[in-house]
Amino acid sequence: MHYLKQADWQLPESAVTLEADYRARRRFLKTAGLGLASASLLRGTSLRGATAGFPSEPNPAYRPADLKPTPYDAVTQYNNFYEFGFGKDEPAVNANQGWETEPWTIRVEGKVNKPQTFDVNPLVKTIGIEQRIYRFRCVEAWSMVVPWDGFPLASLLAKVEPKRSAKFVAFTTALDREHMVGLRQQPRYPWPYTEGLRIDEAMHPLTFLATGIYGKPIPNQNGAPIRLVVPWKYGFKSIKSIVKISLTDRQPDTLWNQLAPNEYGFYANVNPNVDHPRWSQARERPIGAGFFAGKKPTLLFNGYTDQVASLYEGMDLRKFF
Amino acid sequence: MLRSRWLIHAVLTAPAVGMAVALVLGRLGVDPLDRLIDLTGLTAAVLLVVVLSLTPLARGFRGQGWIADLNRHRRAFGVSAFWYASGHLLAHLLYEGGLAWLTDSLDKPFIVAGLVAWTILLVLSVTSLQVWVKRLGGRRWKSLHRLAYVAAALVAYHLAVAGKGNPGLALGLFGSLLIIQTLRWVPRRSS
Repeated sequence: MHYLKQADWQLPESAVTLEADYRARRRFLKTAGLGLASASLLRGTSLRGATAGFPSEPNPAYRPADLKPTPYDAVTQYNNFYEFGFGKDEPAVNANQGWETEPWTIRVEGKVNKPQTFDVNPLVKTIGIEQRIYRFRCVEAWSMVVPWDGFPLASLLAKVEPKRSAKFVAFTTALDREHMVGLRQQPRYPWPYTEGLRIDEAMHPLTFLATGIYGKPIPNQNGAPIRLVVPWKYGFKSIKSIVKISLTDRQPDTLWNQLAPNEYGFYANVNPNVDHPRWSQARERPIGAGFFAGKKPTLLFNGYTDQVASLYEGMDLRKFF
Repeated sequence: MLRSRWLIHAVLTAPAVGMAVALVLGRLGVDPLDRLIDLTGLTAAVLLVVVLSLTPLARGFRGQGWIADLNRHRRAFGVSAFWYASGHLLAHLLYEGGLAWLTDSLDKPFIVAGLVAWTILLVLSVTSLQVWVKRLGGRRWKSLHRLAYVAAALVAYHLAVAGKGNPGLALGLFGSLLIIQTLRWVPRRSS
């Protein structure tokens, strides 16, 4: 077999953006008034984070026929990533101004037998990635359908062997004071961003670590190079750009619960019957469905009731929101 | 120049034209309707603060002819605040896909505050015509139009609490309004 030797500086083929997408993105950027800035933006859209593992295999178990994925440009230009600015259009610009997400390591420690530091690309190559199409529901009452590429969190946790005393899993996002311009805008937030799950939620087959979107390395603004996706909970639980995972015996602090405990709970299960204090959660706006799309009804557990309801049997979902 | 009604109306229409152009050119981001809700709301809030600032500013800076000229256009400013607020309400209804949202959300204080403020602006816009001054009598008309200050307070609360929350913006806009109101007590200088 003939192997083409690539120079060190060449990006792997998997990092190449499909030409159609490249052109579509340039057109979008131009009309979004970012034509002049696109030079630096395009550097970011070469998608350097977590380039290993592609192409991914679609997992037929997570590919419901009726779920239409949200267009790629919407998924990658409408982001809540406050470290890069409050506006939803800011992370796509600010997260690509020189912020490096490759190489990247994750430290996994705490109540485990084999604490260790993982290099993301070799980790992905060992475990292998698949593609799953999940619903995504933000607490702000808008939603998307996203084809994520990655692997179950349980696969990573198996490698470190959680002890019996591990009852919760805590996650921490990167903190880069140079590139994360949002940190200066919101100095009083308890940075870095933190999140947590109960151990059974973390080990659930649905709980996913994503390193790609639409079969390409995940863009910086979506949480490169590796982020959590917990599809039955509000989006803020799906922590981005993870640097540390700790297994603990006590419920961990989470940024949003610390900031506004009456608005953002630890469980944050999608529930149309439990309103946010300031707005109803009964309906959601599907992004990319059009100007006049209005809102559609929100599903309990974001439509994953069959898979996760048993985790919360007997629990008062209004009290533990 | 500031006496020209046409210039004032052009200036007041400019934000709406800007929004329409941006919409057509696709410059309003991934969810243009979401952006329009913010833009129309902000424009309405700013115009409300401006209209309530005109008289105290005119009193405080008696020598400045241009402020006195602007002050003659209070009705135009006030009514345009109502139009942008109506655009904001319409954008919300479109975003939610109908009136069902209203019944869902009447237990949310900041939404009720916004609706009451809009209703006040509606009443004030309708009664802004000269014929109403005659119908109500000058004193009652003036009392009615003092409701604009109630609307301002409701809008300040609505802005502070809505969405991600904008306490800084609300404080900046309406704090400035409060400070400007103190100009009403500038003593008349004897000429």
